[in-house]
Amino acid sequence: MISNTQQQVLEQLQALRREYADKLPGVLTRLTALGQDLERSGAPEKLAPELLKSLYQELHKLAGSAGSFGFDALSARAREQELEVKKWLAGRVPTTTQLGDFVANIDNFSRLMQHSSPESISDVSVDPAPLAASAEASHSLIYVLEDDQLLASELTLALTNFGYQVKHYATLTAAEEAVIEQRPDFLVVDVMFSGDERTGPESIAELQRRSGDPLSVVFISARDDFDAYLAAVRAGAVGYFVKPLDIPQLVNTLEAQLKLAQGSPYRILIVDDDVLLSRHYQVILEHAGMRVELVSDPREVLDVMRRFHPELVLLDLHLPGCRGYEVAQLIRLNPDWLRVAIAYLSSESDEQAQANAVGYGGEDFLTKPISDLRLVSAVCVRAARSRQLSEAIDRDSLTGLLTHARIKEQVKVEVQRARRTGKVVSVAMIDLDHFKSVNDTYGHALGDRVIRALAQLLRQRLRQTDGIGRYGGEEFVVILPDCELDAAQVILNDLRESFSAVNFNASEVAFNVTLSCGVVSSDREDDDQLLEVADKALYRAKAEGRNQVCAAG
Amino acid sequence: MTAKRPLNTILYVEDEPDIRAIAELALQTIGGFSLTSCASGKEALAVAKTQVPDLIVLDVMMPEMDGPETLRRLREIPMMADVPAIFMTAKVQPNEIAEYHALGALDVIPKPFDPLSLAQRINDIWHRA
Repeated sequence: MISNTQQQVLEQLQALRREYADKLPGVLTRLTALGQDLERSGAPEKLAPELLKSLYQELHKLAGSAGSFGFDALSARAREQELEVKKWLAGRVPTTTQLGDFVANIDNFSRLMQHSSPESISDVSVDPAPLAASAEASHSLIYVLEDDQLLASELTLALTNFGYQVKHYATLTAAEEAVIEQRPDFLVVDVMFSGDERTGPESIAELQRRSGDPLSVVFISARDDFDAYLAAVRAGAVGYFVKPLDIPQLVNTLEAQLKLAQGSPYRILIVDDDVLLSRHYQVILEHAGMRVELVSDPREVLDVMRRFHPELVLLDLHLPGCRGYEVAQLIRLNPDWLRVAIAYLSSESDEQAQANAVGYGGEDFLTKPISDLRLVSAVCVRAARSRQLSEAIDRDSLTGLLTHARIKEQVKVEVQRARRTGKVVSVAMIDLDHFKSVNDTYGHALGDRVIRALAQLLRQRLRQTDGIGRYGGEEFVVILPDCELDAAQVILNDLRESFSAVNFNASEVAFNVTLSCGVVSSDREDDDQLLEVADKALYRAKAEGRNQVCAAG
Repeated sequence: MTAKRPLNTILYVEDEPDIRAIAELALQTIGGFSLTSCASGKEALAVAKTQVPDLIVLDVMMPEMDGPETLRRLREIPMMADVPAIFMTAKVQPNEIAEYHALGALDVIPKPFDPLSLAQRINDIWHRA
């Protein structure tokens, strides 16, 4: 069990991250404004030194702080730009292209925040007009490559409803030009294009060869055979969907990928008494963007585990005073650490000894000496798996949202935080209207699809810091920290409208589903019963004709 | 490893409130150190007249009085002359590290830092010194 104080520390850390995240949009707006001033200031050799200096300071601050609050990608990018400005400050005159790139890069910062930040609708106060604008800026860009106009417009509509910015291309050539012009965050590509000799995967594979960074792509196709999948894999696919399309499932894949690209660095603990060698591993892994701690005395393992929360532990088999597999078993005695992956990293070449070690607590064996490249890939894969598993444990299997127990807990935590900070948290209970008849009419598979669609929409439209849980069958709970009741109503009404516009298709029939919602905020006496009160408001919304949001009076 | 007295009190100087808050959490709550944090070099100079910490941790880039300047002025206070110092900065290039060492810093911690392991990192530097 995690001790109370540890839980508190993590909570405090989370709270600080939130506060910082709340301030980030302001910082980015300031940077963008400075960038625009720079663009306006005319010839590159006439850049005002004061302007460069303020830009440098803002970038320097951002580079230094964002990463400490978990925004690592943002930190790294700010640093690149900081170094650029530094050169100009030192007297080098930038070319016009360099200046243009610079301003574009600054503009792009806000996009880096899109999945790791609260830059989305519930961030904004009651006025719905700036709401749309701010949400727009943070949206991921998706290219849909599809020659079937009908399918294309269906996809575009669905993805737009989920909050993505979508561009559609009907031919491969047009799409290729667009990708080179502006790199999308994601591509959805059909395999066959009528009138084109090339297939989607062939075109993408070529683009991948030319591009430094791999493009994230999913393919859609009528084919369901090995060769079709193989061609997709060779073109770097992260998903493959057979028609007729399960769009919520596709969005799921898309979101998971975008999140992975924005994730915080993996945390790796190396337990090895060969200090020199483990230092070397540390450097290699840190260089690959991970966070690494070293322990040379196995007696320190427990302390470091409690403090550092690693996702993967690399254990040497031969340690002073005990064996590596004993340390693995020791770690496994703590139920909280069951989700941590353990791998042995040792020069033990005896297969029997290796097999024995793997039987006790650890999962597998990496043999020393190991090349840097292989070390990085082996560690990455295992840490990613560990993170995936850990997230799966707290999450509802159908929707990926928090489970009933976790979301109830979360409500308590947020109410306490609201009391502490003097801010207001709003809690909403959402229920799908006439869901039983959806199940009865179209079958459970389609019912599940509706539920997943709502889950996706909630995730896409709410802030990273908002809590979203599946409370029961078709019932959801949403927690909006630092959000007053009337702002919450605006957000929820917006969600309600978006959801009712999502089209579901059942064998030739298209239908829509609506939702009802009850919402309450914590600035009232009985703030330890928010869920109950929200439930009553939900009941009223149902009684008054459904498809509406009711606030508790 | 030489036996050394444990690190207890830290004087921390950082102008950015966000970073100060997260470092306070990292050093006070997680690390268990007794921390005096200051928002400017000026504040640090005032504090140093009344209490002598085990260690000074300073941000390099601060308005008005930067980290190196603050350290130099702190060192002019007789009781503070030998208190070890660590710099924190977002730009760490080898030649700069040498520069900070020349100013008498034990080490340089690059920003951004990991709040969960900052205390350990500082402890390690303390014991290595």
